[in-house]
Amino acid sequence: MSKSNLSKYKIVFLGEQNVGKTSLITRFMYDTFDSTYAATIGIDFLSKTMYLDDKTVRLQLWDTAGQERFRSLIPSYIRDSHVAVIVYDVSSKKSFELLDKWIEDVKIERGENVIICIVGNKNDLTDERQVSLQDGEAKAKAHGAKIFLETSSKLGYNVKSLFKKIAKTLPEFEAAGKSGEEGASEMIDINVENTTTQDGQCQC
Amino acid sequence: MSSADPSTYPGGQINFLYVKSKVYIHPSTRKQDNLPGFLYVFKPHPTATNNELTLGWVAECNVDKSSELYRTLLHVDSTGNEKLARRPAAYGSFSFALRFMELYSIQLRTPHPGWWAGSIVLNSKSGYDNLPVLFFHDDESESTKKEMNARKKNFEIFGEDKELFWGGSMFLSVLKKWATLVRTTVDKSVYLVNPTQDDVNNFSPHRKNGLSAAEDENADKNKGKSGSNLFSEGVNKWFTETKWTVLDKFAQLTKLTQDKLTELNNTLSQDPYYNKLISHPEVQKQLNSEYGDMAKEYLAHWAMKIREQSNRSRRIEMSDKYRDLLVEELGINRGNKLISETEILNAYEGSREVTEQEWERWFDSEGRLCITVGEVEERIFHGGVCKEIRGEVWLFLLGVYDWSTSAEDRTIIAQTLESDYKLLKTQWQENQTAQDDEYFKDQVFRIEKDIKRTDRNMELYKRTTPDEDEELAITNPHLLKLKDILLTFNQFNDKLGYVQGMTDLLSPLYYLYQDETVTFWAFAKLMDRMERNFLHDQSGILDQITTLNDLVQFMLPALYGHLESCDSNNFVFFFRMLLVLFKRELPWGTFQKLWDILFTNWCGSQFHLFVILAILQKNEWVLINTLNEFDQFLKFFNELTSGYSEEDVDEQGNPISPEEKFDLVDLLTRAELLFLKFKSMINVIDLNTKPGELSPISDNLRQLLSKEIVIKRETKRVIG
Ligand SMILES: Nc1nc2c(ncn2[C@@H]2O[C@H](COP(=O)(O)OP(=O)(O)O)[C@@H](O)[C@H]2O)c(=O)[nH]1
Ligand SMILES: [Mg+2]
Repeated sequence: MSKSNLSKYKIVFLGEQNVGKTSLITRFMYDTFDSTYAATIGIDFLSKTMYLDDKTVRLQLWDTAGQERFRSLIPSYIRDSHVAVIVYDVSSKKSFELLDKWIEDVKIERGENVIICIVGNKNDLTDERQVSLQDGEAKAKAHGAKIFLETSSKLGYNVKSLFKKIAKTLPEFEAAGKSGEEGASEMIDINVENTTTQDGQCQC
Repeated sequence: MSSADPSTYPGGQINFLYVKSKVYIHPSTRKQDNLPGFLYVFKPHPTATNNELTLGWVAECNVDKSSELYRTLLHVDSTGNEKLARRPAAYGSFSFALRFMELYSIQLRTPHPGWWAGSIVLNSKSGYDNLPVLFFHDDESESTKKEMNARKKNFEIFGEDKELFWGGSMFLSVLKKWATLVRTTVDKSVYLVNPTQDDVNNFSPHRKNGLSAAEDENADKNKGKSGSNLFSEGVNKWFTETKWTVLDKFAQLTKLTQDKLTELNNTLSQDPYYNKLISHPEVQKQLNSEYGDMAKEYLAHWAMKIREQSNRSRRIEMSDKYRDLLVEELGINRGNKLISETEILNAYEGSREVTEQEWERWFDSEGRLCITVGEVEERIFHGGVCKEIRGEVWLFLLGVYDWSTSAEDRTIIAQTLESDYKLLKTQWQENQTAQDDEYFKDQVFRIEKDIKRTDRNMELYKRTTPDEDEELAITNPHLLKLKDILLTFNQFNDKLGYVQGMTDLLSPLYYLYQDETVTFWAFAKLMDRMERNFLHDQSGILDQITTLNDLVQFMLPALYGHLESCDSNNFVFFFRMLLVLFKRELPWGTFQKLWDILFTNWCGSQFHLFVILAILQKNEWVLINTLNEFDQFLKFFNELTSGYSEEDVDEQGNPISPEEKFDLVDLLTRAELLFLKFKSMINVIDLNTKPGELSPISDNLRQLLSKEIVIKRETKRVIG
């Protein structure tokens, strides 16, 4: 099998409007943060190649609009997805409560054939925090999410980690390391943030 | 001439706007017969429209050198400032005066210094009066010489007609202030004055009789050459200018099966662009690498792009070829008579903006429209309007002002709208209970979140201070107005509520008017047309997607079959284009122009669906031959205009090079022809459907012919 036979994986980003889905993707793709980036309407599509453990995979990132009424479109996008990243905003209790609805939507469309990943974004907003790390973890566990992380796309905190963890759950890497576990030594092109001392501070 | 107008200049005078001395008439070939005179433009009375301005010529010998008139003529010539004086005699030999509305065309014959002076030939609409040829003796004219020297200093030696600067070209640039001049394609020296669409068509190359076949052939040869130059430029640009590495792009491509790839390569091997591209050494290197397959696939897309580019550049010069290409691609050749010759010409020639002067000419001195609404719509549909008048034009097109109103009526309407708006606004602004309402607070939250991220690259909407923290509060006064407008709109339409995408519709309007009240009413009218896009059950958008589905099935059956076989015929990839009318896909100036055209409803109120159809038609080959998965289609349409970056606008918000990314003129030509074809197909089918028989045309399709906008409202308030 030649190298040109790249595997591609479809990752959909879901969650209420304004939780930071587009910002997470933009941080990962271009390593920038812009608070004036236009609200997503409809669907955006980006793809990026990741090199990891001497293997290459192509990630297709599907960004969706958060407003409730645009949701009827989403099933056609969730279809065929390998990973669903469901994002809430740690400074918004409401966005956290509505996670259940999103997870349900994914399960209706994909059953168990999808890796669910829960992300609490904006963890730089320490003063405004409304959802604790423990609550987030508990919810992730309850829904059988393979990955749970708090991130800040504003500061770039844990964003690379998130995508690395996602890549690690893909069939390509299953043999190499257990999903959801840190495996810093095998990473080639990405620096790992120290996720064990989650103090909301970033090195950048 | 009766002067019914009560407002006149004092003492029966007229106002000279332009004068040029030493403009000669050559009654014979003998030098001594040459007759010097003044060429002039005057305004007969203070309220005269541009149409009523008068262009004339009077011989020097007919103007008394001691008169006020003589001094005025010299004064206007040398200073360029307007001045009042008595009307010159129009009876002397060769003297003439005619109003702009009677002018048909002007021909410029450039001078050959040392041999002959440059001259202009005027033609009037009646065509009867033989107007004398006017010769500009530039070497005798002080004002022309002055201008020439000034230009030499600034190295601007080329005049208005792109030829060497001379008195005639100077005259042309002055005329442009008051009249629309369109250079004809048949004879580059001829300018039509305030032409109608028919006039322009008559002077387009397809109607020409004079040119011999030999000339045509020659022309084609030259044009072929420029096409291929463009192509190799494209290839070189690819390797020199683009910043990304080839490999990275390859990696973004979708994998095709081996069979598909072989098939694709077979098709492509016929393509001269592709062959040229593939023979480039840099490309060869990539093809022989391990990423060869992807490279091929990538090149296929690239070849399409280049081909499109050179098609476009050829269109400008090789209009006959372009027209034939369209006629063939769209299957509307003359044989089957689906579309008339004139219709094809109108669609093709129709890319001239309505200018300020043209717009003014449509109104009489009371500001009442003096041509028909249909004429206005048809004209704006073919080319949009220039940005200076866009704001005003939209108020009519959107229906804030009725076309039948006079300027006075509109002043009154504006006052009413002002007080109506104030009233609506106070209903929430001065009402604490209303503001404490949970729904209201949620609306404020949603609106603020979105206006903070709408068109912030535009100068108008930038942060007031760069380091200001908007988490705390919005301070840009324009954003605050947007917020007030949206909250007041909720008062006006108490069911819909704010939905994402609405700021995208509002911001261009505010940008045009920069006035809260006017923007509000324009927005309210625009929302009549757009509300169905934002309904909670999405039924309005789904209606359009269904109609599009029917339309593609009807008009592009081969493509439809392909999409269907790929399980991709649900057309959701056009969601965003539908939702905010291409606002997100196109750079600022370009979508505004598209909106000009859509707002006319000239080819039905849902012409945007034909624009999408044109996108599909234009890309049919690539879609059928290279793509076969839903994801690929979505990606393709998402990236149609992705080369465009939001920073690509200048201060006025005009795109720096909109044409590069999305050739709107071409798409609109196609869209119009598709519409006309659609219309005649429906006619043919109706004629062949027996009474009582069920028509195969769905109601959705039939509605596409209607000019009435489709209004669908939210029936009850829903949160979210
Ligand atoms: N403080 C903070 N703000 C963020 C973060 N991520 C996104 N935002 C802001 O939250 C708003 C919504 O972000 P966006 O990515 O558009 O959210 P989406 O609607 O989920 O796509 C924007 O104003 C962002 O600037 C973050 O990590 N920290
Ligand atoms: Mg978004």
